[in-house]
Amino acid sequence: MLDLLRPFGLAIRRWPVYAGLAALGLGAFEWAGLRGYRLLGDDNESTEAERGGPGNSLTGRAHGGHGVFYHK
Amino acid sequence: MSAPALTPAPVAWVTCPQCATQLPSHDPAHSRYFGCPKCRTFFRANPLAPASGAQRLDGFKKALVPGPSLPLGLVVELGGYRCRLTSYQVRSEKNDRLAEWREYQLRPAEPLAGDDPADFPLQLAEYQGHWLLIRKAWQMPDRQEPRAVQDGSWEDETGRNYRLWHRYKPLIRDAVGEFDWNVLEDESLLITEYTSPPYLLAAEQAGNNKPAWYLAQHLEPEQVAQAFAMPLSDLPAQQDVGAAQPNPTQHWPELARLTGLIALLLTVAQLLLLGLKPTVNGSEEFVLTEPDAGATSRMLVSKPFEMREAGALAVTLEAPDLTNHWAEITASLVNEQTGRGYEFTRSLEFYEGVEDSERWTEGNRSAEAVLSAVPAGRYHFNLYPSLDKGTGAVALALRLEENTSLWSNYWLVLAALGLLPLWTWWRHRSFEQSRWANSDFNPYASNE
Repeated sequence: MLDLLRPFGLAIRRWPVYAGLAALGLGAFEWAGLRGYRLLGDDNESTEAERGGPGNSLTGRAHGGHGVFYHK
Repeated sequence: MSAPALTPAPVAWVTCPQCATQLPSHDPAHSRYFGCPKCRTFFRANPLAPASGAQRLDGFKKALVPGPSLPLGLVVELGGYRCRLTSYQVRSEKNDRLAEWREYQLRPAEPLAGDDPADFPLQLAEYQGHWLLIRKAWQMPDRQEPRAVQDGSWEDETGRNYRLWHRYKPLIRDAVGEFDWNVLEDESLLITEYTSPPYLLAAEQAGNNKPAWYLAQHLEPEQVAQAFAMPLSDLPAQQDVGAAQPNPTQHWPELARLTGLIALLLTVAQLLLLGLKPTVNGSEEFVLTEPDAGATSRMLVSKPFEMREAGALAVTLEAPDLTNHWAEITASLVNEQTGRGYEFTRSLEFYEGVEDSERWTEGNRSAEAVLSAVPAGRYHFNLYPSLDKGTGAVALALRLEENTSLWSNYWLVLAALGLLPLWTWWRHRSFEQSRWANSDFNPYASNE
């Protein structure tokens, strides 16, 4: 097993910066995947940030965008 | 490497049989052949018995430009030895007289009793500003082995792979200084070279005799300039890529191995995500109708649904009956607990017809959108359709994929992590292509 890993150890020693960046990239990929975050950006066109709680949303007051002027 | 010593007085002299010039001999015990720097005569003489006279063997027409770039007679530390630069030759190939290179013979600085050290003869060769330090080889291919050198390559016992680089018969164009062998006899040799940067292995074979093997190691011009304590600018400028010049991306194989591992880990991570966050599908159908005259667009509201955990939500809108009209739909996802909204607009349009007896279609009846990192909670969609005049009533399907697989993340990270390996591979290949362009055994020749 160690013999199998030895070439990769040598490769990491030869390319430490790339190996570090790759580890960061893999970490970012896993984090984004778990959160459902699309790295290229998504199709959401709404500029609103989360505001208020359920009580606020039930008032039905319009505060920007289609998404908030009607709540069931 | 220490600074070179001043040239000490030679221990013997020989006289050129052509122009009577006195030539120094620093190693009279071994030197028997001499090249006159004044008249270019190559002759045989014994510096220990000057009375025996000198025998002219050949004469070179003229001194070749640029001439020796290293001063003869200088004592330097090179290749682990304290040695003296005793002679200089210009060589070319019988089949290619344009390519000229220079070879400098190095002898032990002080004459030694008995045989030379095992590495000797030691030589420096320079071609197009690329330097090689040549010594006797300790390892050599066994030509009786069927695998060895038959396929143009040879692997030594350390795993270093030598590839067939060149095969030629040398032509001596000039020779100056003292020699312990008749360099003119080298013209009968067949020389075969194998490269494995920074090394080059050369076999010199006379007829069917057992070849003599030499191992050359690439030297940077800076190393040569430092050894001879001379400015770098006095050495020939480098052109192209040397036969044994190390590739600046010589660690490409390690990077390729690392890239393979990273691609594997990334794929495993993606498969892990697919297992950890399985996709949940849902769908609902609506009927879109044109608003009555003067009325505004009618809003449609979907059934509420629960996002059990944060994730990406893929939404597909499809109007399967839409033909020769368009529909624009603004979809608004509303979190019923926080009021947070997400919104996107998609146009569906589909046209078809027949022109010149050929059926054509244009547009698409479906469109997709992805909402990223939608928090867990209860949601519904508000849909605001706008229809083309005359569309009538069309069905609209709303399909949802919770925790949709983000393959774009996979390809993006793979592409980003592949940039450096790709660039390195390209540099590595370009360098090797330039190197092998000078070889008759160019493995890239068929690809160019």
